[in-house]
Amino acid sequence: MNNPVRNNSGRSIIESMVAVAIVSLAMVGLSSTQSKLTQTANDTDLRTQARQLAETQFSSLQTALLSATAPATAPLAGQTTTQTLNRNHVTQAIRQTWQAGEMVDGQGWRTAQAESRWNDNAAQPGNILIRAVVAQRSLVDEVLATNPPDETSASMASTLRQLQRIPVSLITGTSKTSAVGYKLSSPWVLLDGTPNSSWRLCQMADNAAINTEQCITTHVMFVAGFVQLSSTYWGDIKSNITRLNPVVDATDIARSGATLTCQISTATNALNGQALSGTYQYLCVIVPDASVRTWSGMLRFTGFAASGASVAICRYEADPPVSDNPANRQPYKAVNESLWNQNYRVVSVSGAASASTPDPCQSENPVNSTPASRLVLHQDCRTAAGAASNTCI
Amino acid sequence: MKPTPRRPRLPSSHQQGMLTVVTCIVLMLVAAMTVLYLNQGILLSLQTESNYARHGAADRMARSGIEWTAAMLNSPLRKGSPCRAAMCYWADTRLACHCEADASATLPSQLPQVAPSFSVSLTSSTAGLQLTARGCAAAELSCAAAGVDGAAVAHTVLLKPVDLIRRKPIAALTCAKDCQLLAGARISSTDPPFPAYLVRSGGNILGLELATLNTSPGTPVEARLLAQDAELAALASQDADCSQSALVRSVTDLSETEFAALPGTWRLNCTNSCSADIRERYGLGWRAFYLPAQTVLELDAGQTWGSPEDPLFLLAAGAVRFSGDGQFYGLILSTASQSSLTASQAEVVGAVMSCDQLKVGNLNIRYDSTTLVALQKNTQRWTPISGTWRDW
Repeated sequence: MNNPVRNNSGRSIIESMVAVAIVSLAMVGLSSTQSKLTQTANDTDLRTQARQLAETQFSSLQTALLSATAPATAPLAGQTTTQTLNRNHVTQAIRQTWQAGEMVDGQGWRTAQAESRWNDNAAQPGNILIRAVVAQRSLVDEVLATNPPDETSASMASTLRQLQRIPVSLITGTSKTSAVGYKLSSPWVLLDGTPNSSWRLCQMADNAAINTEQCITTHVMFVAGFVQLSSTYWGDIKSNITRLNPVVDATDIARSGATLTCQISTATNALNGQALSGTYQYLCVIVPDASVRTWSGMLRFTGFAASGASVAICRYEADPPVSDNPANRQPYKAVNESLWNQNYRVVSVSGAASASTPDPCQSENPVNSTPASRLVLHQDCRTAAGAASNTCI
Repeated sequence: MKPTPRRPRLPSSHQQGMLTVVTCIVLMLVAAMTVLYLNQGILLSLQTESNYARHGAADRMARSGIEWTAAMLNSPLRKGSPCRAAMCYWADTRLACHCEADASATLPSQLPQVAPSFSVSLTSSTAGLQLTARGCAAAELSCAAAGVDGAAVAHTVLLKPVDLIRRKPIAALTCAKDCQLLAGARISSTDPPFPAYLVRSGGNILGLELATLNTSPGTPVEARLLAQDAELAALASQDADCSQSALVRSVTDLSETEFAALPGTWRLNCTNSCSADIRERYGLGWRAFYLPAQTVLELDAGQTWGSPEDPLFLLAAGAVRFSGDGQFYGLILSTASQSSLTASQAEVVGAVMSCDQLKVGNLNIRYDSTTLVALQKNTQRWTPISGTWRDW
């Protein structure tokens, strides 16, 4: 008779054995996995250290390449070996190499790379390679790009001040005066504007500061320049101008209906504020008829030749150069368009100057000169034959 | 015979076996989970290392894109070459690039889908140039595709121009120490837009009676001469032997060494014919030249160097000579000691500067602000501004 209990027990043993076998296999697998993970952890540690070493090396290389002393052509290269301990306190070696590619002329960049190599616990080789592009540029570029250049040097500021005002260089050098002062009933200064367009006239306060709130925009025309001659002649001119305020050609004035007021003063050096010996500046304000807004005429200062001496009027080259004019007539249009073109320099001549005498103006680099008994600073429009004309060149 | 009644099968025997198996499986799972739990740190570090590696590579590629683009913008060789979008990839150990003139253009699909690589695109903005660089690290992954963590990184950065000439000279001839004018020297400053000086000196201006000086009409020569300039005198006293780059810094904010190392600067090798070298490099796009010390640059007669629209900048630690009636457009800055600049009917249009005493004879120096402005514009270099970075 079969004993079912015994039968069952036998099965249990077998089942238990099978179970033990399965569990054992599983445990072996898990144990193997655990071992593998432990080894992987070691390898990961090693890899992490290798990466950090490579990145540090790459950063050093990058810094070296950015420096001004980095050779542009010869490639940079090197190697070193670092000993490191893994989790099992086993010493392992990481070998580092680095190299920078050659910079092609004018390209401004080159490749750079840092590499770490090692053998892991299973003696399998591993490597980390870092490579990138490194541009050649100045380390201060970023600072410069975000900081505009400092142009506050005294010389530069002086020049820039002139640039912002009327481009006549004979200005008072102090900071709060403009290119040319114009005194009507109270001091005025000319601040800025475009020739042949609108200008700003600003009233000066008592302390010589510019009161910018008292500026007016005007379309008046300004004729400014300087003359340089001996005080004898200057005295003649000045007295005549003062008396005649000034002597103008009535015909020309009538032609455009303009009114004119002039001021003449001693010219000063823009740089040090000191008076320039024998040099005077003049500023004439011409207010043309409102409907015309233009004026063509002659500004003539007379009287200086009364002393009997001769002078020559040297005309500077206009910009753009005008055609040669033996009558020394500068196209007033050119004069009017640029204050730069309306200056004459008067030099004294020993004896009576004539066209046949050595040109006294040549040493002053003029275009032309003419002996004159009267100083004509600005001439009206003339034809080539010398006749008056309403059409300026 | 009464048949023996069939003993019912005991279901428990099967149930006990299944239970054992199930128990085993559960035990296995518990053990596996225990192993995973105990090793979670390792697994996490593996994942972290993997992500870090990919992200780091992609980030480096994106930064490489910025570096490459800045370098190409500043490259003299690339002047006038339109390139608003580009893609580069590593081909073995070198970088291969493809460039498109149109930023909106799609890069050709036949480009190898390799990694690592980067693509860049440029757009203009009021503040400068906006550069977007995208780096890709994952192998066999198109950089245009996204979705792999850490495999693609993009940076946007603003590029701003930096003037090589930070401060334009304000005189036709500038000497940190004495300026010695010799017979035949002709200096002019007739440039209406900028009332520059004729001569500006930290010391004395000697030989005025020998030179021809031209100013703008109406401007007396005296008002355009500046001797004993305090600023230049201070520079000269700080840098007596011109070794500290004081004058060079006053113009460029760079030292002489930094200037010479700029990628846009061509370092002349005057053991051969420098004239030919300058001509060749100028033709290729260089506008800034450096003449090392102890060398001599002999500028040929009858030649024109630069133009009013496209002048050049010569920083000379060595000696510069004009063989004849050449014309040089731009700026000559000499850091040589006790230098002299003589010629036969030659002309410099722009300006001349010297950190030491300078003798000028038989040479026409004409200040021209238009030329200097053109030089300033043509020698600008673009630089990325860190504060404008935007990481995606």
